[in-house]
Amino acid sequence: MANYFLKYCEINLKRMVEFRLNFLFDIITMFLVNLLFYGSILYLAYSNNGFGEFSFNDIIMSVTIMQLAFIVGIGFFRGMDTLQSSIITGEFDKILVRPINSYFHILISEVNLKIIGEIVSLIILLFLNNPINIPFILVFGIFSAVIFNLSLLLFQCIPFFTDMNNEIDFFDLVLGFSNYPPSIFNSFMKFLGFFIFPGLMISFGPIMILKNPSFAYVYFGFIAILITAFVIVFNLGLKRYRSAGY
Amino acid sequence: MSYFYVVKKTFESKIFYFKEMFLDNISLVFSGLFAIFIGIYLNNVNPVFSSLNELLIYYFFGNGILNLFQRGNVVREIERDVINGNLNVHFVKPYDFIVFKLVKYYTHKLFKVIINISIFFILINMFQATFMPLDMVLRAILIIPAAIIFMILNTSVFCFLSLMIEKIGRLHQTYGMLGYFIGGGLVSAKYFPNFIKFLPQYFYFGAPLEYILNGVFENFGLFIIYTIILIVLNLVVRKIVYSRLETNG
Repeated sequence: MANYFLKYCEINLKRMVEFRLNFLFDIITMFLVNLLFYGSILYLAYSNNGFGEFSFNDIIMSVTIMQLAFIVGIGFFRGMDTLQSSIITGEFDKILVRPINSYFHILISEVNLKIIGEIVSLIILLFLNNPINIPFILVFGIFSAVIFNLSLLLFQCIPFFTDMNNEIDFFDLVLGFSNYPPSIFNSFMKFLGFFIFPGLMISFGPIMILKNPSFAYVYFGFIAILITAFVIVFNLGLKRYRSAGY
Repeated sequence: MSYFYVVKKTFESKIFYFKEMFLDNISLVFSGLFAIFIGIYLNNVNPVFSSLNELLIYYFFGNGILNLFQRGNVVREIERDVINGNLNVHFVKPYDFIVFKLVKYYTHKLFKVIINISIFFILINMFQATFMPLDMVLRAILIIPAAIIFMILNTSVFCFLSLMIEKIGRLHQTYGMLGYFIGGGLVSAKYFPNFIKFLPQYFYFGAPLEYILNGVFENFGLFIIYTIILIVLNLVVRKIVYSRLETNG
């Protein structure tokens, strides 16, 4: 498996360095976009002494966890973003005839190495955190990446049943929710942000665990539900899937 | 070719794909809603708006309209055509390429604005605010086209610069986002340090929104100076790019 993953990385890197200046431009500008966005959120949190029950340090931690989850999800498992279109166009056939199982190929079929810009901004964010919290951030960043990937994959499975693209930009909604603290939302929006478009669960779930350890049941329970739902929906979808030659 | 025909055809295709367009707009509406929530929260902690109604009007124009135009404008479309070599398709046709693009693009945007405004009205009702004094509407009609033209001038310099090095960078995207984040689109510019009022981006978010609310356009002299500089820069950079233009043949 590791060999396959490295091979995919190599192919993607070769493709990207064909246009070196463009590649460099993308890395620099994505770094700037991140810096700007997180900079403005952190500035607001700093100048208002955090948001409600979340202190400035909590906001830095949540932003760092979100950034880590985003890098793992979009940088190294970018393939999940293309599942929907591959089902519609019939390109999913290619994945089904490859060695190793299809979950693996869906996740790693595309590796986005332009993520280097985001990695640099993650390093800066890590430096802003209290060093004692860094192991916690790294561990929960991975768990949040699991939530991010699974929720996106689950949404991308819908075309198995509808035979048409989802028009709602699920990815944007999840990212949108993840960028704001739960304290600004009313209870309905909190429910949407934690369980339907789980951006709040990704970025603030771990912080809630720190504040109230019993929230860990909700966080890990949600991961378990997502895994179960994904396996069931994906397998049902596979049974319904008609190949391009149908 | 009649430009009316372009408008008619664009509208027809938009009506045909109405459901898709409506759903596609949902994430945009949510981003506006997030901004409203953070605006309400900040205004409770540190009030800069005198009433909820004023705050909602600010976000209605900022996120419902100006941000919609900021998220991609016609210059970026033209940039893509130049990079892909699609310009030669237009050069052999009997209409002005730029006017054609403008008509087509803004008919498409107008449709999105109409959908967005409708959804926003529902949201505004959810917050139970009264909506909206006539003088503000008149000021909005006056200032929003000017803000959009300034926005296009501002972004196009960066687009043409990226064409000069024959690469599509995301520099102009970064530059545009700066406007949304600290120019006063995401939250009122009043929460940020005063220096942002001297950034060009402030003039297509914070300044027009303040003008709509209070009838005062801050730093108007600077706005005029920036406009002149941007027009000159656009003309110079555009001339260089077009003199080096190669078709994909």
